[in-house]
Amino acid sequence: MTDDLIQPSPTNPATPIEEAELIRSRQRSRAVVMAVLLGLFVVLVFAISIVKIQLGHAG
Amino acid sequence: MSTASATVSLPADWRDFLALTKPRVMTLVVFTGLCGMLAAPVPIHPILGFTAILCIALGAGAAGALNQWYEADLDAKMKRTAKRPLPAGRMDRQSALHFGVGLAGFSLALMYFAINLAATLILAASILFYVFVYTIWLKRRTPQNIVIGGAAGAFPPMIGWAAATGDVSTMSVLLFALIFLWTPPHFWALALFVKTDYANAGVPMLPVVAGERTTRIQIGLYTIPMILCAAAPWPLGFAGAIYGITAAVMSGLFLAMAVQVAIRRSEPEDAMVPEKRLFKFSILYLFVVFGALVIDRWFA
Repeated sequence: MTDDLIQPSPTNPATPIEEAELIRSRQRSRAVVMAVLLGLFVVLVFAISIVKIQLGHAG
Repeated sequence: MSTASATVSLPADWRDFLALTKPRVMTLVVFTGLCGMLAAPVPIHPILGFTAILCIALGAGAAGALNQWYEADLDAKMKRTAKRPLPAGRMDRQSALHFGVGLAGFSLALMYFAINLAATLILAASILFYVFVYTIWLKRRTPQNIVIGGAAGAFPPMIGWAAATGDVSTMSVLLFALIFLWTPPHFWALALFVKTDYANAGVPMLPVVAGERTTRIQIGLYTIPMILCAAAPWPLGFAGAIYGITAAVMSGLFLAMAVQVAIRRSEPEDAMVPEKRLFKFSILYLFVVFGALVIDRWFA
């Protein structure tokens, strides 16, 4: 499954510049995923609120 | 429990966090939860239904993450699990712990505010049961680990049902019992052909502790109450003929395969074909039986 998506760490140690770049790239991808998830959460909370209001009026 | 991971210098990739939630296990959890919800006599608004299933998935993911946090040392010893983020050294244990606890809290809070208290309490019970009773308490101590721990995986249809109805009823308890009784033959079939892996890791699975013969007999014995439980909703009036006939046919096949495994004796270098077939069929069994329940409820 997702275990296979991750490549094992390279055996050759990265230079400090390469490592810093790798760290930044990881942080960037995590930030993007987090932003997307938060955006979806906002949409979900909005939708839940609308449904609850509708159900409240119907009940 | 120990720190099995190699040195971690990079922040974990987001895919490692996803892998921590055991997405493959989550598929079955989500499916049975969805079926429990759709089989309930009270319809639920699609948005709320989606939210309830999302909470079940996140709760299962949290339990999976906390399981991997605690079992990093065991996972490192087994071929099947050695590539997971913690034993492979792609993530530090503290991140896994924070992620698991955070995800559990988030799933429970969302379930409570969006759905209802009953579903929240059952979801909380399932996460706590999986982490504390199964992972921390039973798994390394008794060969009955998956029998009692199987209860954790049996909660999802009950949560789905409670999300729709707000309570627990006989039918939801039957669905719980079906998965609870299905778990031992399912896992012991797996344990029969990955016995060496479990033995190397020191996990007291039944084939390792009690031997193959006992395990095979236990598989046969647990299958009988399981198929009775699967058949019960029809005569009890909770489901119709579509479900009843499907459950009877699938249970008959399950029983035939379980009996074949029960009476067999493995040879040296045995390919364990009947055991592998039973394991694969047991997954299909649950999908088909639960699917039939929903079809019966909506289309009969």
